[in-house]
Amino acid sequence: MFVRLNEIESRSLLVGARVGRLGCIVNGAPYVVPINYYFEDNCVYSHSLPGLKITALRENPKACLQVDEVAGDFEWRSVLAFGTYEEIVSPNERSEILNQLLQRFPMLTPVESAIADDGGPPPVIVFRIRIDRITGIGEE
Amino acid sequence: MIVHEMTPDECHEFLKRVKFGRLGCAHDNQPYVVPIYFACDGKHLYCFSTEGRKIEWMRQNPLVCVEVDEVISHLDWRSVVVLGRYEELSDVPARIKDREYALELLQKRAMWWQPAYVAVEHRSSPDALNPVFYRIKIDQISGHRGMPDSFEEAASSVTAVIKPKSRWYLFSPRK
Repeated sequence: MFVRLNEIESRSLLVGARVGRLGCIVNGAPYVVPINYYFEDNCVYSHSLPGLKITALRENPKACLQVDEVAGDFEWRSVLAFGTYEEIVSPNERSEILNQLLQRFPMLTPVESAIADDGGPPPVIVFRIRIDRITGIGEE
Repeated sequence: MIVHEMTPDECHEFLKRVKFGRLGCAHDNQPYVVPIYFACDGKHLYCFSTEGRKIEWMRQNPLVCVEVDEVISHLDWRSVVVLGRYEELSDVPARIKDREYALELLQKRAMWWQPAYVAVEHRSSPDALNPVFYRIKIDQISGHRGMPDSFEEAASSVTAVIKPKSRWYLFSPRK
């Protein structure tokens, strides 16, 4: 049966997942990439190297994160969170968020790997998507 | 970890096998992402839906993106991104062959009409039951594959090292 998830169910899916698909706009066209993230205080926190999605989000901060749980063809849930991109520049806040990310994702991702390889100053970008609307649907 | 760029052939093989991804569309500069099933024949991704927000939006702005991934572990994953164009296969004589072809490809998945028809139960619009066949013409395809390097394969404790030549973030935007 098809169901609409309530706010609590949708949020709990967002909190529980580790990978989501970030949607942004590049020259008027959509662009979707998988990201590791955590959800806290109504914000999605993540990090990235400079690149297409960061350039795009700086230009147009409207973003969305889609997260799903698929147990089978007839048992799935999908949540879509809409919000605004904000880059985090304060050194304290950056390191706090990076620590949170590293705690949740101890395996190094390409971002930290590149830093490890360069040995230079970390070019990593830390950002949040401040969520203002969440919708969720599913089948059970 | 080593991140390789996948060849177009590898990307297409991947799309033929996985058949499930996330469709991104854009409306008034607002992105929207939903999970979809599709069938890929190498040139197009064929899909089925019922009237709804994503169909309305793609009619207005046919530029779409489909992201398909498979994560076996942090060190073993693939992600393919298709940039393409929405083409509706309307129920008109000129499109009959394309619709039949779409149906033939989509029918290879059991219960292929799910979840489009299930979602209808919750919509009140009289159009909600109208079936919509569409395809996404592949304009650009790119893929990345992460795999353990030889050190990681040998060692039980893993340190990730990306190769300097990796093009992980060098994806070029559509012109």
